Order: sequence, then C-alpha cells, then structure tokens
Amino acid sequence: MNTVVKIENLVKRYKELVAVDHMNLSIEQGEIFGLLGPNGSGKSTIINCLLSLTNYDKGEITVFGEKMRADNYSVKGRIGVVLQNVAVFDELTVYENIDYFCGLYVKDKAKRKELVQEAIAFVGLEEFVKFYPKKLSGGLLRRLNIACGIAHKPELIIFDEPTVAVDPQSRNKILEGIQELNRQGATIIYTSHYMEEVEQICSRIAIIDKGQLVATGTKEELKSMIQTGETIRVEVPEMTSEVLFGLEKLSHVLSVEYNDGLATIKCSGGRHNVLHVLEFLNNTETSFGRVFAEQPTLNDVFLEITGKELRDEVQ
Amino acid sequence: MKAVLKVAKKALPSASIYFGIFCAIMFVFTFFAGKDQEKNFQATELTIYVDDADDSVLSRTLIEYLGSENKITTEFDKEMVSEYLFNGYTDYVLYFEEGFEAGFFAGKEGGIERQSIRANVAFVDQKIEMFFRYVRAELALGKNMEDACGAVLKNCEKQAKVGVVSVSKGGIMGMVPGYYLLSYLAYILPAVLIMILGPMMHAFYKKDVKMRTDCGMVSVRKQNLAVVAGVAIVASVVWALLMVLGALVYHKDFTVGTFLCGMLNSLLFLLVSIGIAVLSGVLVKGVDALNGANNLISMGMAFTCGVFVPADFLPEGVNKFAEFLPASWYMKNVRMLFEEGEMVDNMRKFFENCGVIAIFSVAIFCVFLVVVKRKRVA
Amino acid sequence: MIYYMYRVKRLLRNKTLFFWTILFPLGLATLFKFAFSSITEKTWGFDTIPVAVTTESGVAAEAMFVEFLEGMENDGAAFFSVTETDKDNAEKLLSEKEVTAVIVLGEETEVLIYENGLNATVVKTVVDNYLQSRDIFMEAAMTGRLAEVTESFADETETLAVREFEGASKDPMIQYFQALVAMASLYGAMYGLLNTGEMNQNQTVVAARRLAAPMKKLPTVLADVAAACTIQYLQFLLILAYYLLVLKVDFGRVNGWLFVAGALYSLFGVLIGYFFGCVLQKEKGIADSVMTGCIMFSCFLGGLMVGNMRMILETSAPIVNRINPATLIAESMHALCVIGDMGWFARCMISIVLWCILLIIVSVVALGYHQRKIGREGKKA
Repeated sequence: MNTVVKIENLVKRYKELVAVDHMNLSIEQGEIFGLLGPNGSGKSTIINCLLSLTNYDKGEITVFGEKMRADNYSVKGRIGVVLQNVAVFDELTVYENIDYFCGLYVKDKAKRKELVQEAIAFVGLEEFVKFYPKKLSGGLLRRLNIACGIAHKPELIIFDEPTVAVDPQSRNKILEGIQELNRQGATIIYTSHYMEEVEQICSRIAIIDKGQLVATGTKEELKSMIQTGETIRVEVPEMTSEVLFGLEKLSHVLSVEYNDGLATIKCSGGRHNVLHVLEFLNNTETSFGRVFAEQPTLNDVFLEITGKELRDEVQ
Repeated sequence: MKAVLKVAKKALPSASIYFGIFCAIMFVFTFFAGKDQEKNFQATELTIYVDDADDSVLSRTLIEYLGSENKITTEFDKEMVSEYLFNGYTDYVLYFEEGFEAGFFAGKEGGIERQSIRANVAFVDQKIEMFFRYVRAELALGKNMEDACGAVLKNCEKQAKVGVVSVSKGGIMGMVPGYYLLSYLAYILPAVLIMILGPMMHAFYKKDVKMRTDCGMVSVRKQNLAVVAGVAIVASVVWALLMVLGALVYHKDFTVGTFLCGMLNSLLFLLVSIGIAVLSGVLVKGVDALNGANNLISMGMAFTCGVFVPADFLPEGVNKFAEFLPASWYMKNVRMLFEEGEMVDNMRKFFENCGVIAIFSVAIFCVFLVVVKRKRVA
Repeated sequence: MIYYMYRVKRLLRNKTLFFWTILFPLGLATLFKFAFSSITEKTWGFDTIPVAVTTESGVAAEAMFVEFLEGMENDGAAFFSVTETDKDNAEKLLSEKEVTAVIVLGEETEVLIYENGLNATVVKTVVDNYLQSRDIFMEAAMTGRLAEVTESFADETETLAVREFEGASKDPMIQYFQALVAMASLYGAMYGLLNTGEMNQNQTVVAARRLAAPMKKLPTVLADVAAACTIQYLQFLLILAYYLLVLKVDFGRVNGWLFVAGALYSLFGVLIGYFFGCVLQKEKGIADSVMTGCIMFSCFLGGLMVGNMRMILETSAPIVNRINPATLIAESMHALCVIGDMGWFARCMISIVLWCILLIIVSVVALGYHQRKIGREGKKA
C-alpha cells in the first residue's frame, strides 16, 4: 500500500499555545482515515498545515511522496477539500459555484462541464442548479459545499467536520457519500468530534487531544487497547454495600459505581458478563429493573486514555 | 414600547451623521447671508480682470470709467485666465496691447480685446465702445488725449435717476440664514426620519415578528399604540432638536409671525415626512435597500423641489413635476415667508399651501394603512 | 480565465455594490442635471430684456431713442423688446413684472425698475449712455462743432476685439459632473475592498478554501484586480454614455484620451480599495467606513458639493489639488475636455499613476506584514 500523507514530527505553536505537538501520522492509500478529538484539540490546525494554509514551526509533511509546500501546485491539484464552514459564494448559483471551484483545478472546459454534472448528480442537487446558496436549506448547503470540494475527482479528499449542524437525514447521506467516494478510489481524511460517525465510516482512526496523538489504529485495535470490554448498567432501586462489594468481586468486573439507583459495572472482555451479574443480583435477592449492556465505544477509549469524556467537550 | 424605541436607538449613529451634515450646511450658509437691500438702485457689480500692457492715459481712463461700477482686478495669474472665467471668478477680462493708445489715436481698429463666457455681459462691450466714441468726440473738439479723457469722465458723472419699485429680501441667492434653516429642513426631516423610523417599522411589521407579537398578551390595539407612540416620540424629538438648534442660531431672522408660520409649516411637513418614513419602512426590504431608497427619496425630492437649488433656477418641467411632491409646497411657503416681506397679504395663499401639505400627509398615511393591512392578510 | 469571469459575475451580482457604484452615481447625475442645467443659462445666458418706454410728449428725440433701443443687438438677438406706452400703463406692466424697467423720457429722464439686478443695470447703463451722448452733442452744438462730433460718433471703427474663450464647454456646472465621475471612480474601491476580503485565509472561509486550490497567488490577485477594473470601467463608460446621450451634459471635447483616462481612473479606484483592505485587515466594517469617509472627503475637496472647490483650493492650498485623488480625476477631465491642455492632462495622469504605484507598494507591504502575523498568531478558530 502506498502512503498518501506522511506527517513527521509536526509542531505548530500559536504564541504560547502549542496547537500541534510533535505529531506523527501516516495515511495510506484507500483509507478513510478519521481524526477524532474534542474541539480545540488541533484537528483543524493539522488540516491547515497539511494544506499549507498555515506555516508550521517544525516537522515535515509529505503528500503523494512530495514535500508539501504552499506553491506545490501539482500536489494541491490532487487534493480536494471540504472545510468545516460552508465555503461558497453567495453571488453564484449552485452550478456556478461548483464550476468555479472545479475550474480552480480543471482548465479544460468540456471536461469540467462533465465533472460538474457528475458532482451535482453525486450530491443530488440536480433540482437546485439555478438556486443561489441563500435559498438552500442547511443540509443542501452542506451538499453543495461537498460538491465544490470533490468535483475535480481528487485522489485525496479532506473532510473537516462536514456534518456539524446537519440534520440526521442529511448526515447519513453525507456519510454514505463519503464511503462511496472511498469505494471509487479516493483516500479520505475525515475529522470529527462525533465518535459515532468516525466509528461508522473510518477504517483507521487517530485520536487526538491537546495537539498530541493519543492513539491510532482501527476501531477494534483502539478498543482492545483499553481494559474495559463491556459496560453493564442495571437499574437497582436499593443496593446494600455487601451486594456492591460482592459485585466488585465477580471475575471480569473491573469497577462498580452506584448512583441514583443505577449501577454501572465495567467488565473486561468476556462472554457472559451480563449473565454473571444478573445471576449474582438474583442470588442476593436484590431486585432490579432494566438492564443495558454496551460494547466499549471510542468515547470509552478516549476516557480511559485521557481521563475525560470526549462528549463533554462537544457541548 | 421599549423595544420600539430600542430599534430606533440603533439608527442613532447614522442619523447623527445627517445632523452633522445639516449643521455644517447651515454653518456654511451663514456666510452666504444676503444683505438687506435698500430701496435704492444698486448696479450689479461685475468682476473685471484687466491686463494693461499699454498703461497709457486712455487705458487708465477706461479702467477708471469701468471701475466706478465694477470690481477691477489687475493682479491675476495670466496662465489661469480660462480657469478664472470658467469658475466665475471674473466675469470679463480686458487685454490692452502695447501701443493701444497710439493705435487708437491713429484710428486703427483693435489693440484691445475682451474675453468672457457670459452672454449677458455684452452690454459692457457697448459701454466700452460708447466710451471710445466719447473720447473720439472730445478729441474732435480739439482736446488733447489727457483733457479729452478728463472731460469724458466728468461727462459720465451724468446719470439717469432710478426708482426701485419693490424690495425683496435679497433675491434668490441672498437669503437670510433662517431661510436656509427652514428650507434644508425639507431635506433633513425625511432623511433622518427614514433612517430611524424605517428600520423600526421594518422590524415591527416583519411577518414573523408580527405573528409572534400577535400571539403575545398585548392586544393589537396596544401594540399599534406603542408603535404610534414610538414614532411620535422619535419624530418630535428630531423636530424639536432641529427647531431649537435653528432658533438658537437664527432667532434674529424671525419675527414672531414668521416664526409661528414657519413652525406650522414645518410641523405639517413633519407629518408628511413621518408618513414617507413609515411607508418606506414597510415597503422596502432590508437596511441596505432602505439606505439606498432614503438617498433617492430625500435627495431626489430636495433637488426637484428647490431645496438645494432655488426653484427659479430649475427647468420648467422639473418645477411642474415637483408639484406632485409635498416638499415643493412646503418650499413655496418658506419662500413666501422670507421673500415677499409682507406676510399678511399672502396669509390666504400660505394656508392654502398648508392645506395641500396636509392632504399629502393624509394620502400617504392612507397608503401606509392599506399596505400594512395587506401585509397582515398575506 | 474562469477565475476572472466568475469574479466579474460575482461582483456584478452584489446588489449593494451595484446600487452604490452604478445606480447612485446615475441617480445623482440625474438630480444634478435637474438642479444645475439651467443655472448657467439663467445667470449667464443672454435674454432679451423687456422694457417700457413712455412716449407721451411725442418729441422726435423720443422716437429716435426708441429706434436706438430697438436697434441694439447682441449676437443677432435684440437687446430689448420695447413697449411704447403711457406712464400709468408702464407702471402697471412693471408691477406685474411684465417689463424689467420703465424708461420715463422727458425733461428729467428716469428709469423705474422693479428690483435690482443685472438686467436693471443693463437698462440703466444704456440710458446713461444716451444721456451722456446727448450732453456731448449739446455741448458741441453750443460750441458750434456739431459736425465734428457727429462725424466722430458715426465712426464705425470697432476698437474692442473679442477674444474667444478657449474652453470647449462654457458651463461651469459640468464641474459637478466631473466630480461625480471622480466619485464613481473612487467608489470602485468598494470592489477592491471586497476582493481583499478573500486574500487571506483568516478573513473568510472561502478564502481558505480557495488557497487550498492549485492556483498561483499572483495570477489570482491580478485576475481579481482585472475583474474589478473591468466592472469599474464598464461603469465609467455607462456613466459617460448617460451624461452624453441621455442627460446631454455639455461635457466639452470627448476624445480617445478620455477612454484611456477612464481605465486609469478605474484602476485607481480599485487600488484604493485594496489599500484599505490590506492596511486595515482586522475589521472589515472599520475599513469600510473609514474608506467611505475618506472617499467622500476627497470628493468634497474635488468639488462634489461645492462646484468650484478646486479653484478655491487652487488659490488657497494648491498642494491639495496636486494630491487629492478626486481632484486629480476631475481636474484631468477638465484639462482634457474643457481646456484641451494636454500638458496639464498629462501631469494629472502622471500623478494618478504615481498614486497607483504608491498604493500597490503600501498594499503589498501591509499584506506581507499581516500574513506573517497570521502565521505567528494563527486564526481564532
């Protein structure tokens, strides 16, 4: 497999703040590579450095085997960008916007026309080609934003939080679209703070916090890095300390918390954890209500490694 | 109510610019203040630039002859003559060639040239040719040049007696500053009110806001009252501010009578301006567009109705068109107050004009109500 | 190319700018036309003056005087239109403003005027001349040298020659229209300012998005400038056409150089926008108001509000006229179209070119400074 992007020892400082701290990443061809981290963790800065939109203090970025510089136009031409905020011109129609951005990459008129039509079809904006962006709903606008970024068929597409403030329906469409692009051969870099999305579509994930790389790997690899294999939540109206103590003693159980009638039991990977817990509660004649069992999420990974919730930062 | 005024407050910075311009204009025009004319004839003084390369008895005498009724300047930048003429710095330029007197004595033509771009100063040509006839006549009587010139000057002291029938307060360009105060009101009132009331109306009658307030506890009646009160407060503050400002600076230009009439006139025009402001507020979408409309309405009306440039100077067609605009009737009254001197004779006409302004305001408010009603139904 | 085309399209579709740079100058021009078109005609133009002459006594001299008045001509038009009538009727005509003056002939010739003014002065001057000539003749008759005097009066030698005014236009009001072209040209700065909003990634998202594309910076900036200039130049042509074809303003000699100059004015305006955009990068709003303020002040000095401002400054502070952008534009048009002084025109053009160079240098320096700063401090996410 070819390495498409290689980031070595990247350091970017904003005055005292170290936004990116000795970052090393390598992204292979054909991947959907997720950059996951809370807001302000440095995802966008990495993207900006990668695109040479900002200069950086240290390190080296190689894209398609070439050193990335602001004037490396041959490399820039192979990259597509969908930025976090919608970057389209209000004065141009949907068609003109796509044509404009495609035109920044593709000079040939006939070919461009074809590409633009394909992009419009891809995001499903056929009915809106003559609309001005102001008349589009939020979801449609995002789709236009994406069409502008991908129309020239780039080999590497960078999505920087493309689903912020998008309704669930549009979000799914966008995610499907990204996967489709990937199937068509594009390498994708996808940044988000929504772990569900990253989990859903990314083949490999880098978790980032405070400018530092926390962990990389497939989601399975990441989840196996942490001890928690399963989290069981049981509604228990009343629980004695003996029972609590007994639960903790069960094999595979890592920790037990009891708050407001809800017991949260973290277990290491095992087959019948739920059964064991319920059996114990039954044996100790503790009455219980509903039971939930969850496989570990990336949030758990993030939580265990950094000691804080990924979600908290979202709000 | 509070909300209504809050929206108005937002427009204050831009409105204060208009106040600034207004004050500046008034300040400038105090310089143009006309002198009160006496009931005597006064020759209209022309500015004549003279380039006297001959410097002879004859040339000097001609200069003196012209100088008795005109302003003569001999020191000027000769390179700039075209500019002076073009900009009205001088009305008439005389060039004496060297040897002019000798040539004249020998009966040659020329030797002196005149230059002007004004067509109506041709009488000066006549006057100069006449002067030369006098000199020739005196020479023919056997006098030498010096005596002839002296005799001509003496002869020219003989002048016709002139009686003046009417005294205007200074004609079109020579009004007292108080006139400018009242006339510029015709520009500034609509401009400032559109600026403040426009966004207010716009905000209040926006469909969503309207629907939401309608859902609220406040009855439609009370809402409308709040708007009316807001408009009234804003408008009266603006008007009072302008009047106080004017009264402080220009009190000496008014008598009690003209002041009261001026107040009545401007109050009626205030109503029209409010009407225009609220109407444009509900009709024009967006602050940018409102800004543009404001310029077009207030400036357009001011130009066509003789606020900036006196109506006498405007083409006939424009004056006819202006009769369909309220400001022209307002201006008619303002001119009457200052131009005609005696107000009493024209009181009837004055109140008729006031009536026309009042009808304008009623008509505009009717249109406003219809528009608002339609918006509500839609 | 596509880049340039779309930039033109976008700038044209900006409604606010469209209003301020095109509709507003055209509207103002229309108002100027209404307001100023007849001022010159009414204050400087020549009109036959209606006068009444009372000829009650029926003396031959009176008939001669009337004949003399009626014979006076100015460029083929009669000086006076004379009504011969009795005194009562003459006064009635005067009070109704039907005539400018009443000339009461008699032992003591008297002139009655309604109000003071140029026409009254003209009538009085003519009557003065009549009286003065009469005295000379009377004196000559007394000394018995009437023949010589009559002969010298009959001498048709035209001593006074006319030197034509060299300007191609005799209407000073066109200075308002020149200043208006200057204003419209300088308003091109709005397009320039809009363009600078997309030069640095910290200003708009679209700017960042654009920078990610494989486009060289210099050509894109040049395409932007060219697009703004194109619109600006079209607008210049539109205003000029509106002046000449619709309003029929007496603009003087319009020749090819004016169209060359128009291109330079357009560039000048756009560069001013770039200057403000590059120097005051932080706040778009501030740059906007500062720029508009500066332009309006420049236009004021250039004669937009007071037509002969340029002359006032020329006599009091000529340096202002040498450097004020609006004046340079208005003055170059004046030099070219009205006066026809190519040297003067060239001097104005050179000043504008120097201005442009200065604006470019400062803009580039400021842009570089801000970009380094962004590099150091980063953008606020």
